[in-house]
Amino acid sequence: MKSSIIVIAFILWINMIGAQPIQINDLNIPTSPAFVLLGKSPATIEKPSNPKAVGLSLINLWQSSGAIEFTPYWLSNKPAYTFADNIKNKNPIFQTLAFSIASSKDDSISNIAVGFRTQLAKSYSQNTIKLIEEKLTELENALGEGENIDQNKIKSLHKDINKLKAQTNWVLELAGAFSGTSSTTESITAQRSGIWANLKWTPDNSPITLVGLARYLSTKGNPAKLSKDSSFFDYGINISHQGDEFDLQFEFVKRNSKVDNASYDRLVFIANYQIMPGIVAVASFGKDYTKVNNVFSAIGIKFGLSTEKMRAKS
Amino acid sequence: MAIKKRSEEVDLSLIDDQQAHVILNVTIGNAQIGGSLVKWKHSSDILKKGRIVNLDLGYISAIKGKTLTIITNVLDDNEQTNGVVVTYYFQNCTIAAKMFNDTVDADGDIFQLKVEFTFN
Repeated sequence: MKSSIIVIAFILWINMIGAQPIQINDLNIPTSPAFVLLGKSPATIEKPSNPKAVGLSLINLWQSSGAIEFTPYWLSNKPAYTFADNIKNKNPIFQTLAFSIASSKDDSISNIAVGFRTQLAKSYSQNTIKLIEEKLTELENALGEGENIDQNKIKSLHKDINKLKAQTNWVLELAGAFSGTSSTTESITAQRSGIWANLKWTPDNSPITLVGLARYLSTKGNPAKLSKDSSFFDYGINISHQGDEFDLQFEFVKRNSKVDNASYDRLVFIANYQIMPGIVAVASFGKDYTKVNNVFSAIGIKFGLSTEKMRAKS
Repeated sequence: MAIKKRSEEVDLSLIDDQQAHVILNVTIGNAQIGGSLVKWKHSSDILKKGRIVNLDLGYISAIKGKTLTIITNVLDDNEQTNGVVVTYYFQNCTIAAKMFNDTVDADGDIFQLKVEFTFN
């Protein structure tokens, strides 16, 4: 479900060395791979819910710019596929296979990108399944109050279920995307393609999550050098510990560049400590891919009006 | 959390065996979450609330001519679709299943379906 965390804050950064923004989990599978390769986030994303709407959206996309996302499996109703079936489904490949398509036109240059994302495998521990079933029964009972349902109770139970649903034991995800660029005036073309794979493991009753990451990205330019050629394979590991008051994250990524036949690595460590609700101390350090001037570190305080902690997506 | 409401009336034909029981099952599809309230029309007694599995409505001879009211609330939990589909299965009726589908506007919305089934 879409959660809306609006943080109205200003960030005070005291950069000790370097001034580059420190990001972690940059190898995590993007939600919409096509939009990542296109290099821009569309302002609006159409989500057609039936085959006819998909057709109309594709026609609109072809004639002008825009973005759509759809999951073919859900374009028709599945009357016998229940919530419990979905939780117990260990290979929800078709249920989660989502396609994203985006196009943009800037002056004489046109871009189009197509991507997909799916979960190849997932599993919950027996304990988590039991907790989900218990919470599901409570929610079904709350929804079984006819015309006098308690919306606050339903919201609260739904939030609990969503938290439990996120506590997968194992998840293996795969995504891929391809984008093409062309110019009508000079017939220039460029291509970008990428494939991502993530294997996430959260041990039972543990605040620690391990994610194995792999990504291949390739950019092929053209004689007019619309974009620079590059091709690299990244792989690495991300370890995070999420506690009530502090979070720790560590990420190591090894990069093999096919173009210059060299390898690089990147290391990032980030610690967040909540001093009080809305005030979080942040410390981070690491080294970037580049061979020189590659060490970065920063400490700072984040002020926010939101009482919810910012968490890295994993 | 918006609530989309819909009401329907359905006539069901019972089979000829007066001693047979009518059994009700309600299935919420599309991996959504739902619960139902089941009662006879004009009665304050609730037969069942929540998940409806193998609910015995009684002998055919006893329920002929009566109207069953079912209010089903479906919470849109599935991020992949806003479509909802509810199927009511009546064992020992000539048409055993009645399916309703609809859509809600946004994730987290509720679809409230009130159906009155009259047994003939």
